[in-house]
Amino acid sequence: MLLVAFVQWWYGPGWQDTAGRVFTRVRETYLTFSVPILIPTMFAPWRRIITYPGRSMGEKFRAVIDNLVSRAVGFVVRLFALITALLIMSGYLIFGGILLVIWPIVPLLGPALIVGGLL
Amino acid sequence: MSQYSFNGSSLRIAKARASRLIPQPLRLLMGVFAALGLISGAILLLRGLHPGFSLIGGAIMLLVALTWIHRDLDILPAALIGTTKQLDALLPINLADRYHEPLTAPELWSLLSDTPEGRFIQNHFELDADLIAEGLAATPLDFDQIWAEAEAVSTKIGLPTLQSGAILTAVFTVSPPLTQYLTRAKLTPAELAEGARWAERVKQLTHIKRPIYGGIARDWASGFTPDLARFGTNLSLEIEAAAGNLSTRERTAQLDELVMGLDSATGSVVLIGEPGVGKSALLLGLAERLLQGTASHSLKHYQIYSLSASSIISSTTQAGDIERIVMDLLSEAGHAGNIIIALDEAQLFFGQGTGAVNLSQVLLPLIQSRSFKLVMALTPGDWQKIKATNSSMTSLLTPLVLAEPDEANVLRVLADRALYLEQGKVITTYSALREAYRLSGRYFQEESYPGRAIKLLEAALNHPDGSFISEKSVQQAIESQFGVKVQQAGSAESDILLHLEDKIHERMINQTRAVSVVANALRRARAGVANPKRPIGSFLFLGPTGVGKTELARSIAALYFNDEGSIIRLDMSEYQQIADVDRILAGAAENPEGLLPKVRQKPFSVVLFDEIEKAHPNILNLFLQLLDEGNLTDTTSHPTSFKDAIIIATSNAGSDDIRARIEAGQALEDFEADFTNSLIDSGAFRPELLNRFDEIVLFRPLNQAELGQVVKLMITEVNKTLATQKIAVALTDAAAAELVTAGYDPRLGARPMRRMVQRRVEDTIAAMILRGEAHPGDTITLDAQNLGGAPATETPPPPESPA
Repeated sequence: MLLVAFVQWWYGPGWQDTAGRVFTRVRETYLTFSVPILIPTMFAPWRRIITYPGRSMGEKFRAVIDNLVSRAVGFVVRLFALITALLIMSGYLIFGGILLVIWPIVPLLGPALIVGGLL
Repeated sequence: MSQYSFNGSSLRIAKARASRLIPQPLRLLMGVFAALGLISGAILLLRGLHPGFSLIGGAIMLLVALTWIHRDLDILPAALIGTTKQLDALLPINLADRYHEPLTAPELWSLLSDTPEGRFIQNHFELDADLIAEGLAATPLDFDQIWAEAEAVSTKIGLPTLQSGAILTAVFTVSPPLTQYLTRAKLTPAELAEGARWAERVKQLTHIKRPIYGGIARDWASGFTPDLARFGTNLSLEIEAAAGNLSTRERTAQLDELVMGLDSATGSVVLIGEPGVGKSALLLGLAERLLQGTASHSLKHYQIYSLSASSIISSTTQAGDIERIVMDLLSEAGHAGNIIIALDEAQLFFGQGTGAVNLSQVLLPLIQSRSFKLVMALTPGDWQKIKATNSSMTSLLTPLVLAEPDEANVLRVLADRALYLEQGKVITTYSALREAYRLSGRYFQEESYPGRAIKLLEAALNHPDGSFISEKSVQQAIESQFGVKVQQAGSAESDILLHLEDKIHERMINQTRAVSVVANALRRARAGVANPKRPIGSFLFLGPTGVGKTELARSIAALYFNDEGSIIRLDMSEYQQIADVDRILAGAAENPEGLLPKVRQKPFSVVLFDEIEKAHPNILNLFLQLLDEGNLTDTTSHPTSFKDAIIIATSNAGSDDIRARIEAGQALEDFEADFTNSLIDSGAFRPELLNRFDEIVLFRPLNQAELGQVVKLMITEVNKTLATQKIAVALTDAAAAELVTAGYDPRLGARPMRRMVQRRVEDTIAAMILRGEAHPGDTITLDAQNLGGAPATETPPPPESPA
């Protein structure tokens, strides 16, 4: 009875649960790296460090430059974070995908390798 | 035919038993072998040796088995209540794997008490497993009834499946011997059900997964806040560090309202509630919601900074610094773009209270500009005051009134708090929570629930009862803090209470009726039979001057409060004008030495109102409330509790009548009712006032023989004073008789006797000491002719002061 139960679980809820776990890992990475925040604020000034424009043209020009620099710093840091997140998420997806593909043969793989090794 | 059945060979049970057959050490060993197999297999394959495949294959098989055990056999969810009557599907897995039929009630108890929930309830409710097993063995149980009750309990505590704690509660509910056992332990099945809820809460806490509050880039688009970090406390970071907050789970509706208020056009909210009601806890709850990002899209990942007026004020050196710092802080919050400012004890920012500054002129334009979001916490009194003086500002705030939670919710908050306080070192019993609720309500009058109960529970941690924080720990915390007895009387104390009359008579002569009435009232109070919402006792002492009324009040203070000085005395002849009502009700600011401030400072006292009949009628009206509800409210609307005081009012009204009746041979007991009626008829007292006293106590005049005993008591007192000089004084019978004759006045009772002893005994001894005629170790015996001082015929002054 337990062998049947194992087979039922492995090829049913077990497979689904593994897919869910892969998805959870990807989602946790997505949230840990704040991807939903990074994308809409990609070009926002870094930590709101901004210069308010003065009255003279020189001050206005300087404010524009300062704010562009702040936005550029923000963009670079966010881009790196986004790339890192995407790399880790891709790793999980690739590894998880392979695991899900070979999942049905894993129980058979063990005995097969044992026998193969002894031959 | 049984409604519920158990199929021991069902797949779920087979899986559960298989899981139990593989204990944790064996699983660990399997994991180690799998790792070794993979590594050694790989090494062999790298060397071109084929058996490496076998080792890797074996390792894979072990890993597959472990995966199945961990993700299937260990997780066998129970069926939802109402979907089946099969116990093999309904029972929680830690019970189902050992369940079998037939099963006796003691066996069921044994199974239950071995589950985590069962152990939790046993420990936190101090249940005696052996007594329970005996009780269950005595009476057969209807198991169907247990399962049906367990389903009802689980549903009641909000669980969709059966839980071991709910089954345990059901066993107690269904079994008459166990219900009796609970009653003896001062518990109810409903409280055990709360225990099951508590156990479930622990399970949730231990399985809680650390939430992701926005991730690493959450604050990258918001400004730095160095000044706020210096002067304030970031509540959001506190929540993040603690991985969540439990204190507001019962306040979802209030949190919703708070979020709506902040999300509204004004963007500023004022939390109005008494101290301890949970304003700070609600702010922590808000911080958690905002971090979760589920509360509101516009407030997503906002952080809350709590500003303390005292830390700002303490860092200033010059006038105008405070305004500048506050402006800087608020502009920093506005610039950061993700900050909500919380002003705890906000009255201090509006010139109300000690150490306050008035920043309303600074805050008003900022609130009007809506450049940042603000939450203020205020008491209702402070809100009213600020509203009266700053209406233009308060109209910009959304008020949110926080009411005190009910008892059930307070106990749940306490249960959560206890889990944090225990730290795995002690166990907080349910009775400790209940006692913290009860006693904090009585003794922590300045605060509201749940704050006051939490405070008391925290104080109880300093009084562990073995490895438990028990009911006794809470009582000891109160006793050490207030110097009052709340624990059940011990044997020594019981002995004193049972022989209270003898103890009082050690310092009082006669008045057996009065002493007995008072002693009975005190025994009732100490045994917890008296109404806790009224003063411990209230007595009206009626009788002539010098018969022991004040002495009895002192005896009560000495015996009940262990301190003869625990008397707050008011001479009511000084309160004869209507304006004196305000004097009586003066708060601490107006008169720190007034009645109410004194009672607030020393609530465990005898409050003695001398010559009550002389007080203004409006003051007597105050007594109606004092005696009925046990409190008076001062002129600044602060209530003062008299529930821990003993109220004694004395009066000489009708003393001539008492004397005449006693001299006519009547016993006090025979004319008490008649005498009281005569006082009402004569207009000396209103019936509604007399009816509110617990007892009206009549004192009889003392005769000459009794005055002789009073003299002896006074000489004992003199000897106590002389004891430091190792000198004693004794009177011959003739000397005692001489003093009685000289000091006897039927109108003044024992009052002139003290003066007589002072003049004729103490003065004589003093002269002897000064002349060097009395030496340490001497006992000076005075005969009638040795008594010095005033002539026996001296006329005593008129009776001005009362008994």
